[in-house]
Amino acid sequence: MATIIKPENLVYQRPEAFTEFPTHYCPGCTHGVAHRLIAEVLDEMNVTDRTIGVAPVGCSVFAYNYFDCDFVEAAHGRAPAMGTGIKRVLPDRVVFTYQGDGDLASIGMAEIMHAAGRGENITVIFINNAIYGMTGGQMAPTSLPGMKTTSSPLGRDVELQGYPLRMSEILSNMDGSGYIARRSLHNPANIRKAKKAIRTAFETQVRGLGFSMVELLSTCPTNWGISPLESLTWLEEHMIPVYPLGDYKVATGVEEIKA
Amino acid sequence: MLEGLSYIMGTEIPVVLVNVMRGGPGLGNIAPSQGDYNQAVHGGGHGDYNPIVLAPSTVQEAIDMTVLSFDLAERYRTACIIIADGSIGQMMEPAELPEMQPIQRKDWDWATNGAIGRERRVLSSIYIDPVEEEIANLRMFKRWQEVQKNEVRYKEYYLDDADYVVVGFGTAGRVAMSAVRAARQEGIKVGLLRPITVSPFPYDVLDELSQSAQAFLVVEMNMGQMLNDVQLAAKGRLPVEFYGRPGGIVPFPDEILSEIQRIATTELSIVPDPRHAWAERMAEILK
Repeated sequence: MATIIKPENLVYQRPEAFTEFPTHYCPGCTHGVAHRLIAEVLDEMNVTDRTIGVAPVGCSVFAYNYFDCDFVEAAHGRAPAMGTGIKRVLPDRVVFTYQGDGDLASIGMAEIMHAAGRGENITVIFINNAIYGMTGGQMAPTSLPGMKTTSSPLGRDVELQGYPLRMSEILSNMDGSGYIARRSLHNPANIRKAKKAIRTAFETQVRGLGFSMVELLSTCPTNWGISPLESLTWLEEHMIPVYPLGDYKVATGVEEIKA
Repeated sequence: MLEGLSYIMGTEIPVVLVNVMRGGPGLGNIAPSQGDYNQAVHGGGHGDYNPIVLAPSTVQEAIDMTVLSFDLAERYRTACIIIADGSIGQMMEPAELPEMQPIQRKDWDWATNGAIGRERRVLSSIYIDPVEEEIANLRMFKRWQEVQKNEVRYKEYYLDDADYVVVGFGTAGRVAMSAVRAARQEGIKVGLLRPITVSPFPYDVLDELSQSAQAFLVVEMNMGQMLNDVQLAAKGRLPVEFYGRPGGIVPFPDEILSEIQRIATTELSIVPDPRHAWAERMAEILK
């Protein structure tokens, strides 16, 4: 096999920032895509050896198995607090948290708000799939109005269960935020845009321009109860109207990173 | 806070915590209390763990214990909790600030400070396989046994010939000291044991004292929490009496003196929970 793949023909390979640990994610889940984008960015920036990741609680609780850098495991929702501590003690390191919507927007709401409010120089990768995955498909703060989950079997009733929280919009209002963007992982074009945003977020941190977060609209075929392919379409048709894609905060200095 | 403490203990991260205890439960008040003894010493977060817990009775001790606590936390990769109370927290009294000194740190061969020129490290308290968690629990207990062996600290006063031993930590121990001195002037052979580390608890010295003394008197600013540890050490050999002021009240030396007088002049019996009799005496006092 080795002789067949000549370097000039190589178009795709495991990023060096990945370990060889097989991931545990369900077929069709976009966590793997998000992981890969982060790993590619770490490779391109050549910062893996000085990067410390903070894993969440939820489906990506084992994220620390997949990245070939130092990692710590946070309590549910507390990743931005842990990231704050690490970054403040080791300001020349690259610190990122990887959090789902239950972790970041529900139990971890205080931590994420204050990390952004303090303008912590950390990068948050926020996976929004509008549902609790690991625990069995319960309603998340980001579940769509009318969305059926195991804890809203008749659909999310906004009278009873309130409205979805739009975290990128909320955090973009914080003075401490340097770069806040929402992207989607439902097709190759958007995946490429997502990678660019992740790169911008990490560069924002490296240049000390404040708190950075990329929200990634993601799929959960297992708990949405539809096929991986249908999930990608569902995301595009239902999630993007509620969670419009785009840059929500581009602070002074971040513009030139994007250019 | 206890969720974080449990994670810290499970991940084996050195940390120093200070709890200036207030009246409770609930919002309670901000008067001096010792109501969080059990929370600090006997856990509170989920899972099995044993932190080191220090109890200062003066501002000087609070300063010295803070220095010590960082060294202990690093040495054993554990939480070291200082439990003070509102009077220590707000008091002004003469004290000497020592020179700043470096933390006695062992090699940081576990820290996640960036995998530069070394294999990556992961810090986590996850042991998904119960067998591994059990092994981890036993390993951490082994370290705790080292702590128990090496780090028990206490102060003793007038114990050489003591028939009666007052046991109190922190501010309650300090107030008890005045009562013990006054009782000595009356000719009562009473001494004081003041634990410095309430965890690890000085079981051995109390075990020894329980073989010569006639009774123990536990004095606390709570409903009787360290009481249980003293009872463990006493092994039912002698009566363990209790006097407490919960809710944010600091006892006067007179109150403790009259308890010492009562114990020295009354036929006492060994009961499982001396707080019942204490509660009756309290009802009389509060009338």
